[in-house]
Amino acid sequence: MRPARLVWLLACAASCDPQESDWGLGAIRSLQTPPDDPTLGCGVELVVANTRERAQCAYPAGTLAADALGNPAALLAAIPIRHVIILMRENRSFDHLFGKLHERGQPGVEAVPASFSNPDETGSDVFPTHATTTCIDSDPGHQSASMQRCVNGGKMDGFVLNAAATTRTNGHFVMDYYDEIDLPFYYWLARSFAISDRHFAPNASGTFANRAFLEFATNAGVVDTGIVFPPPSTPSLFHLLMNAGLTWGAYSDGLPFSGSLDWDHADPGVHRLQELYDALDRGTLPNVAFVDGIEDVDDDHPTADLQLGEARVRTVLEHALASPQWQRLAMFWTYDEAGAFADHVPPPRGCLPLPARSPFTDLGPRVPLVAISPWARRGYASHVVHDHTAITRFIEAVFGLPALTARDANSDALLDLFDFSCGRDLGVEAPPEVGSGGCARR
Amino acid sequence: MPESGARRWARRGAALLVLLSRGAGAQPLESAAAPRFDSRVRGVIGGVGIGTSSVGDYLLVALGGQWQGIQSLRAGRWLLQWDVLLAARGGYLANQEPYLFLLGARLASFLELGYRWQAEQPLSPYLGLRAAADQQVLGHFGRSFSDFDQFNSVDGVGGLVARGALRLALGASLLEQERSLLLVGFLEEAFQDLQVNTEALALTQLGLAARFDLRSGLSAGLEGAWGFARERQDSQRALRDQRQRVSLRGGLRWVFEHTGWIEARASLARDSNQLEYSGGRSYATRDAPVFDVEVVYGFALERFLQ
Repeated sequence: MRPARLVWLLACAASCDPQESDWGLGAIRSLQTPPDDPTLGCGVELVVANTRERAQCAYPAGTLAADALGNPAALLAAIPIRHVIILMRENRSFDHLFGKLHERGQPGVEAVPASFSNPDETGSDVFPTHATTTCIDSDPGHQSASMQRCVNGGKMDGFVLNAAATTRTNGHFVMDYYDEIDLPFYYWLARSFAISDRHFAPNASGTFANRAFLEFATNAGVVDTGIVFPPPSTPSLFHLLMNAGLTWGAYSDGLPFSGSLDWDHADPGVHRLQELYDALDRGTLPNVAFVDGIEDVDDDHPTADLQLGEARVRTVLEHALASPQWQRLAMFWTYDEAGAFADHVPPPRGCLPLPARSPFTDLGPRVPLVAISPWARRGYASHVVHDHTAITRFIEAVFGLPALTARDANSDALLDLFDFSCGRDLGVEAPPEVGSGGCARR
Repeated sequence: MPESGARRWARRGAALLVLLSRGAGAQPLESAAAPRFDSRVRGVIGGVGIGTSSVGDYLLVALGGQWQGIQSLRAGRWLLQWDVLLAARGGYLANQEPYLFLLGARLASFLELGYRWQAEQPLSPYLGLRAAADQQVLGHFGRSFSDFDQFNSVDGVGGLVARGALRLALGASLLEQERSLLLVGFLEEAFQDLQVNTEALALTQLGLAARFDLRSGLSAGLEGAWGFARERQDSQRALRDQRQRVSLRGGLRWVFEHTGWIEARASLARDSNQLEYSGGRSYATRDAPVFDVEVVYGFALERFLQ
């Protein structure tokens, strides 16, 4: 055998991984982010229209946001946002993180009813209780079977029993809530910018399916987390962006998209967090950035310390506020799913993504979502029902992209969280320090 | 006058056949009527298979019956091959945790009838027509088939999986007292039914196949194929996509003198897709490769080697 051929074979054996899928997205490595239009600014007055049609899931895949939202395409294109950061955290319900937000600075959000409780295994009622630690050391089952047990047909009374059945505890901890003493930075975000108290996980299941809805507007054959991944040929938000000459990047020091796509840092478009900070500092952020934490360390997934998660989000915000692109930026801080932590609002139904495909129309329990931007309404609480495909739709609306499925086609695109009128103070007060010592306090 | 490419390849092919036959201990080619070749086995089988798929790895066992053979007819004018397997099948699909236990049945069969132009010669051009079908029904206790859309995808393994193929094969057949060798190129249309998350698929495949049988009971086969599906239009999303597949599979069976036989089969395949958006970009994707290995032991109820 010739030496050159032997070297080639050895090199291939060392570098070729036959188990790897190839998503065909290599072009993102050379795609340049188009320069921001300097003429974009205030004065975009949007109307709310076609709400009944969207509630009836009237719009199919491929529908442009302009048609479904009832706003001219030119008006949507004038929205002064050219960069979107999706800070998707892990596994916390709205009531769990913000059970006291109604009383602590944002009265617009719905309070947890005093009567809300869950029975435990002894039949005793368990009421929401102030959490004693920011490091919960149990992870309740939160795949589809568990979530059905939690939601219990809309009674929202199965969280404690599910946690008891899937952890070595009595399950009471899933009724815990935090306040602004525990999580001062998160509470500041929630009351300073625009928060939604009707943002639901798109699927009553775990990480993979819910994140799939953000990227594909369907669960793409994935129901439970862990083994099955969406096929690489699934039409995606990545495709839509690149088709339009727009860029995206996935930033994480752990697994990008929390492992839901089986990608790693060798895949195109995947970067370390430092590269996000550098891009923000230099004003070279791609059009869409997906930002994820390190699993169970600073991504807020139990057993992570929530205060470490606060610190991570605060660092991203600091770089965003100092970025030359801040005036063109919208950040969505949200959670992929509720992680089987209790929430009192029964999830409604969403639109069937694709006929004769995924049957999943039951949304999962509520998760926090805050729009952070100079253009975000300040101190605003939205009650419009949506799920993660509303973020997808927001991106499609701003960049003039068609819907991937009927789910995002009929979403409201989160536009009520923004105010693009002129004469507003676009400044942001200095954020508070993050909480500390919460992990040791038990 | 220089030798044409086709003629040169034909000459090389014939030389290869001669080398193969000599390498296997064959007698020199003669102009006598081809001898009768008949190798049949039928019995009860038990098998175990492992594999990977786009919906997870699996471990499946089978218990049932199998009838397979190769037989020359009409003094070597025709060559008949068949394989019929009917078995209960069950095991685990690792598409979620805990793994999904599946139980059901599989009916897999093919029949190929080939024509040997020069029946009187051991070496003859060969034209074959094959029909194949592979139906599998694997269910999960306590859940109906329609519930499979509530699980992680089971497409290609669980639920009802129906595949079929029609093949036209053209090549050469070497038929002698002790052995049979088939070398063919084939054109095949393969079908797969609509599943929960996967569109129905029709693949046009081109491939090469070889099968070698010894009268003493050894049978070996190897084939490789490249196929493409018809372009699929998604008018709502203004895209079209086309699937391609490369596959390689082989098998080895040994029929023991008295008790039965053992057979090992393996396959490797990889799908790729070309997505093209109207007015946008195109994306060439590739699924992870999938492989399958199955070992079957058969207890012979009928064994005929002539």
